[in-house]
Amino acid sequence: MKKAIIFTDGYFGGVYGSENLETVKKVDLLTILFDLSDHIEDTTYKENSEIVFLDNIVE
Amino acid sequence: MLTLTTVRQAINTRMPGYSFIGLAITSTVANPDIPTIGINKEGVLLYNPDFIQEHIKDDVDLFTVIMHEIFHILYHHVFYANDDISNIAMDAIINATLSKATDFSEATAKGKFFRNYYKDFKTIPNVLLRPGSKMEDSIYKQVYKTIYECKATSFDLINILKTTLPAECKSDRLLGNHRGPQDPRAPQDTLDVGTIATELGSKLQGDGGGLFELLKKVLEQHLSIKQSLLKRFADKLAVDTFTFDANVKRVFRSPVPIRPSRRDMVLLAGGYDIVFWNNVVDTSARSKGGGITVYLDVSGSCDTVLPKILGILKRHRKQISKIYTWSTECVETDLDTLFKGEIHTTWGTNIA
Repeated sequence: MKKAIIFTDGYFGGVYGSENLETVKKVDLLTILFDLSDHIEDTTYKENSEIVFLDNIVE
Repeated sequence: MLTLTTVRQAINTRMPGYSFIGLAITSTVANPDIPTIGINKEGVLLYNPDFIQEHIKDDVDLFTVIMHEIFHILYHHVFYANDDISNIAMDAIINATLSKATDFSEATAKGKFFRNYYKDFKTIPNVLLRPGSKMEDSIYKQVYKTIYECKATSFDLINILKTTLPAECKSDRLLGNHRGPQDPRAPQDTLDVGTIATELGSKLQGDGGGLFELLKKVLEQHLSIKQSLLKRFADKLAVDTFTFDANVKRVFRSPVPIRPSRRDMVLLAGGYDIVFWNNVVDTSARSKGGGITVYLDVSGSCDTVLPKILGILKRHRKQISKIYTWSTECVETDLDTLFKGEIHTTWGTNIA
């Protein structure tokens, strides 16, 4: 399975649309959020991606 | 009479785990010129004795008003505009956090002080400043719910209230000194905008290690300190697990030297005959055509955290095969270009 890391503040806007619902299921995803507010609302995306906070993984 | 010992004891008693916050306060001074209670850039807690006498009934109330002032610093409220509606929003956010957020709710007896202090007020904006207001028939019901479910930030709430409240709306019952140094009623040397957060922050960091940053994260995530530490550990573990590839072959053996390991070279230098060579495998993802693809959001809101991201990318560069930056358009780039600071961005986030 292909692996992808996405760095974002969580405001996907038009980037992530319904046409990507199947894609996220086929990719091993890690999402690294810039800030501590979790702006991602799509449940399909949340179920298929590990979501971590940037501040928690930098020293 | 409010002494430094009294203040620190109140914090210690109500929240032993957060007692380091008491370091932010260096002394206490009675000052009848201020309406309620406030803190200045030196960490001096200024208070009006009449206010303390009338409204502070026990250590819960004292803890609540002290934390209210300190939270203005922690939330960087000194950087926001000093207008009436912003002040209402900032106070409402703090009161909600102290009344509802994990850890603080118990220490403040679910916002007992705010319930009493604003109990005689039935209208906007003062009803926003206490928990337990009955808002069923109000147009501000949803706003109130958002505040007291701790889902709004100060920035969000200021904008919401500025678009929904009348421009002349103000509360004459806010805690602290919200008037600024230009007001003749303001005590001298109070609320020097911008320097308070920096100086108190450095003071806490100097005496308490990373506790100040940790506390900020705890408040932002609405988690307890234990949960926050566990979340940090879990996040690091998730990244390590994701980037670790157990199937990568590190060495392979052959009867002829192809890419001898350092061990083989040492043995060879020592005069040993080597029958099977341990060859090093080039594990860089680029040479294998596999690895991880990175998509980096470089829209306008993300520029301040890019140095941290580049640090992470550098740490995992061997596993990264491709990297794309995206804002309103997605562009393939390479790590060397990124590390030089050359980032192509169109600042927005609409790529539909």
